[in-house]
Amino acid sequence: MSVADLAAIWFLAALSWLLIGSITPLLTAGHQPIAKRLAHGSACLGGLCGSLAAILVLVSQTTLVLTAWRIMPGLVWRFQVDALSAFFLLVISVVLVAVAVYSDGYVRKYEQKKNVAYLGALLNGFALSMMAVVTVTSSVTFLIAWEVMSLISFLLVMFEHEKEQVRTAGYIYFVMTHIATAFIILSFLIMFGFTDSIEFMVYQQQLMQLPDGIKNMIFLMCLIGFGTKAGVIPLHIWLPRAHPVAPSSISALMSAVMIKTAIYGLMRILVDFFGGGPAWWGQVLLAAGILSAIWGILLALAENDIKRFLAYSSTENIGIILAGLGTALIFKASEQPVMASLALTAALFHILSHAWFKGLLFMGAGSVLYATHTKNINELGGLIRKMPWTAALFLVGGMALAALPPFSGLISEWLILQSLLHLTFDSSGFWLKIAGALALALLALTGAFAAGGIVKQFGTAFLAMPRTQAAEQATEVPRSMRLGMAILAILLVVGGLWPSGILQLTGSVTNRYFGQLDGTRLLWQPVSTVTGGAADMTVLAGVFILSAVLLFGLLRWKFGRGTVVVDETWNCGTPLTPSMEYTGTSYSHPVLMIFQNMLGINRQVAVEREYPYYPKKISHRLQVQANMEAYLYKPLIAAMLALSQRIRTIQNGNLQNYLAYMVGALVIALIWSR
Amino acid sequence: MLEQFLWIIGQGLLVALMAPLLQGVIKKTKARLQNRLGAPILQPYYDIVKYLQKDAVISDQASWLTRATPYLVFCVMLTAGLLVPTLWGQAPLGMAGDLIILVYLFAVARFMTALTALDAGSAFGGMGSSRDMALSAIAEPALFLAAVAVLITGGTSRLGDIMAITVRQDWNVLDPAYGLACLAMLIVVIAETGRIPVDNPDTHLELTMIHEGMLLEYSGRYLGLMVWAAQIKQLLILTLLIDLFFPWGVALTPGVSGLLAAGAVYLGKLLVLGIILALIETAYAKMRLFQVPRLLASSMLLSLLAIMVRIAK
Repeated sequence: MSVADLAAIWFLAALSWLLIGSITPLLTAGHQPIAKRLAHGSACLGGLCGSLAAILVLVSQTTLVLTAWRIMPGLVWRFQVDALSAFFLLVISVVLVAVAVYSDGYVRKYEQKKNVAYLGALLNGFALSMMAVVTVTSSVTFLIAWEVMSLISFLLVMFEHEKEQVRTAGYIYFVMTHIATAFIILSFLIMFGFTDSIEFMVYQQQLMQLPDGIKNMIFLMCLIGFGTKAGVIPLHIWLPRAHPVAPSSISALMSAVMIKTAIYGLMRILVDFFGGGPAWWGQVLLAAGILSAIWGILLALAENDIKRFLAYSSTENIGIILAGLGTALIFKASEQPVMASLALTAALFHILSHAWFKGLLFMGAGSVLYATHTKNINELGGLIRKMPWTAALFLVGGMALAALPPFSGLISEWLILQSLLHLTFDSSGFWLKIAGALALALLALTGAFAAGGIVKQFGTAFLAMPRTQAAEQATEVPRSMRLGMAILAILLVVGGLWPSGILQLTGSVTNRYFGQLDGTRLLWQPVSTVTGGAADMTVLAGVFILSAVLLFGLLRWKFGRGTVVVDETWNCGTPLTPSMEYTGTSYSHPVLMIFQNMLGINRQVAVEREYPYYPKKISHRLQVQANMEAYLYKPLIAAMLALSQRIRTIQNGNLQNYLAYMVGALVIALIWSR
Repeated sequence: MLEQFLWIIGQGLLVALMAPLLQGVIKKTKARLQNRLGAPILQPYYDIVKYLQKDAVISDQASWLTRATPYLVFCVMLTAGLLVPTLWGQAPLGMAGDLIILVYLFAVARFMTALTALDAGSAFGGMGSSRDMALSAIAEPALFLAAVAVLITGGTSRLGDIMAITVRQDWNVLDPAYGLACLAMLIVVIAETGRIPVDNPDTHLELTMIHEGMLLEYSGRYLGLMVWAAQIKQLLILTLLIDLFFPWGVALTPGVSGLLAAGAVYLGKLLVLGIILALIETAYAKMRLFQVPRLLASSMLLSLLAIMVRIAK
C-alpha cells in the first residue's frame, strides 16, 4: 500500500468520524451524557485521523484525489488534498483534537440549561464543513461548503440566543459573512465567465492568461470577500462581536481556525491560480496586513473583556499573516523565488502558531469564564492561586501571542521580520525598501503592544488580590479542560524549540509554488546571496537552562539558602484592599493617551469636591469610540437604508403587485426567448 | 569545542562582571558633575553582594512568579549577553541568534518584570509596569529602525557579520546617514537603559518611576538579581551601540595580544559612552511621561531619513 493510499484512508476516516459525530448526538439527544461522549469522541478521533492524513500528504508530497459524489452531470463532489490543502487540514485537525477534549469538560457549564447534544453535533458539523472548504475542487462545491460553514458557525454563535447581546452579534455576523460570500460568488462567476468551467484544475491552467483588468477585478473581489471573513480591518466589525459571545470552545475554533479558511481561499486563488500576480497585489496585501495588525492591537489594548481582547488580537494576527503573504507576492512578482519562499513560510508558520496559541488562549478565557462566570478582568484577580494550571497554560499562550521566546510565536515573528528585512535589503525600488523598513518597525510595535496587552489581561485577571467574590470562590477547572489546553501548550513549546519539523511541512507547500528553499535549514542557512539571520532556539534554551542551574547552585553555595519572610504588601501605612489595585482600564491608559487622536478616545473625568484640593470622589470613564466604524460604516448603512426606501416603491408588500410583476416578467421572458 | 566553551564562559563572566563597573562610572561621573564626592566606583559591586546575602521579604499576595522572575530575568540577560560581540568580532552564540532574537530576549525579560510588578497588588508596581510597557513598545520600533539603517549596508541581521563589514569599510561609512542613525540610536539607548530624560534611575517617586517602580516589591537576593540584570542590560545596550556604530578596534584575527588590545579599546569606548550618558543626565531634566513618545518618534524619523539616504546612495 502506497503512502497516498494510506493517507486517503486516514482522510476518509476523519470525514466519516465527523459525519458520525454530527448525526449520532442528535439521535441520542435524550441522553445527554451519551450524546456528549459521542460528539466529543468522534470529533477527537476525526481530528487525529485528519492530522495523520495531512502529515502523510505533506511529508510524502503526494496529492490525494477522491471522488465522493456525482451530484449531477458536470458537478462532481470531489476531494483533493494537495500540499496547500493538507497544510490547512493540519491546522484544522490539530486544534479540533484539543477543542474536542476541552469541550468535554466545558459543556458542563450548560448542563440543565441547554441541550449539549446539539452543541456537540454542530461542533462536528462545523469541523466537517471547514475540512470540506479546504479540500474541495470546484467553485460550486467550495461555495456550498463555505455557506454550510458560515451557517453552522452562525448557529453556534447564537447558542446562547436568550441574551440580547448575543442576538445583535449574531445578526451582524450573519450580514457580514453573507457580504463576504457575495463577493466570493462574484469572483467565481467572473472566473466561470472567462474559462467556462467550475473546476479548480482548469483555473490553475487558464486563469494566468486572463487580461489584466479582469485579473485585478477578481483580486479586489477576493480581497473584500475573504478579507471580511478573515476579519481584516476595516471589514472586521463582526469579529470582536461574534467571537466573544460564542461558547468558548467554539470561539477557539472560530478564531484559531475558521478565519484561516479565508486565508486558504486567498492563497488558493492568488498563489495557486494566478501564480502570484503583479507586484501591486502584494503591496496592497502588505498594507492591509500592517494596518490590520497595528489597529487591531490598539483596539485590543483598550479591552477589559478577555474574549474581546483575544478577538481583536485575531485581527492583528490575520494582519501579520497577510503581511507575510503580501511580501511573498511582491518577491514573486520581482522574480526572487527564495525570498518569496521565506515570506510564504513566515505566513504559513504564523497560521499554525496563531491557531495553536489563539486556540489555547480562548480555551483559557473559557476556563476563567467557567470558574468565575465573568470575562471582565476588572472583576477578577488572584486566580493564579485558585487555578494554577489554567494560569500557567494561559501564560504560555500569552507569551506565544506576544512572540516571546521560547514559544513558536517567536519563530513565526522572526520569519516575518526577516522577510521584511529582506524587502528592505534586496527588493528593487526606493519606496519598496522604505516600505519594508516601515512595515518592520510597525510589526515590531505591534509585537510589543501585544506583550503589553497580555501583561494587562494576565496581570489583572490572574495576579494580586481577587476583586469580587466570584473570583475569590473560583476553583480549578475539570481535568479534561486542562488537558485540552495542555495539548496546544506542548505544541507551542515544541514548535518554538524544534521548528525544523514544522518548517519541513511548510517547505512542501512553498516548494510547490516558489521552490528552492530547504525548509529545515532555513533558520541557519543564509537565504540570500549575502548572509541572512540566525535563530536557533534549542541552543539558546540550553544555555539559558545551564546558566540558571549554575546561578542557582552558585548562590546556594556562596550565600546559603536564605530565608524568605512573607508579609503584607507595603501600602503607605494603610492595609491594601482590592480597590487600590491597578485595574485593566488604568493599565492601558498611557498607551491609549499616546494614541488618543488616532483612536478617538472619549475620556470623562468627574470630580466631586467641597474644597478645591480635596476631592471627595473622582470617577473616570474611558471609551474607545472606534473612529473607523463611525466614519466608514455609518455612511454605508445610511446609504443602504436610503436605497431600501427607494426599493420599497417596488417591493411594497402588496400581493397583487407581485403577481403583476410575475406576469410582466413572464411576458418579457417569452418575448425574449421567441 | 573546548575553545567554544571557554569563549562562552569568558564572555558570560565579562558581561556579568563589567556591568556594575559601568554603573559605578556613570554614578561617579554624575556625582562629580553635581559637585558631590559620590560613592566609590566599586559601590555597585558592594551593593549587589550585600543584596545577595540578605534575607528576602515577599508579599503575602505574591505567587510563584515573584520567586521565579529574578532568576529568569537574570539568566535571559546572561544569554542575551552571549549574542552581542564584545572583544572578538563574533559573538559566542552568534550562530544561534541575530539582532531580532536579541531584541526579543530583552522583550521577554521586560515582559516577566512587568508581569511580576503586578504580583504584589500594589499600585506602584502597576504604575511602573503600565508605563514601561507603553514606552518600551514605542522604543522597540525605534531600535529596529536605527539598526536597519546600519544593517542595510551589509544585508544581514547578524551582528558579527555587520561588524566585519563596517570595519572593512573603514572611514567610508562616515556619511550623513551614519550620523543620523547614530543620534537616533543614542535616543533609543537612553530610553532602553531607563535614564533621564526618559526615566529617572535614582528614585521611585510616583511621578517619575518607570523601571524602579517595578522593582519596589523585591528584596534581598531577588532584588540583587533584578538590579544586576538591569545593569547587564545597560551594558548590552551600550555594547550594541558600539557594535553597530563604532566597531573599530575589535579583534578580527585570533591572538592573545589582539584580544588584549581589543579589550582595552572596548573598555575605553564603554567608559566614554558612560560619561556621555552621565553628561546628558546631568544636563537635562526629566521629561513628562507623555512627551517621551515624541522624543522616540523623532528618533524614528531620524532613522527613516538615514535609511532613505542609505538607499539613495
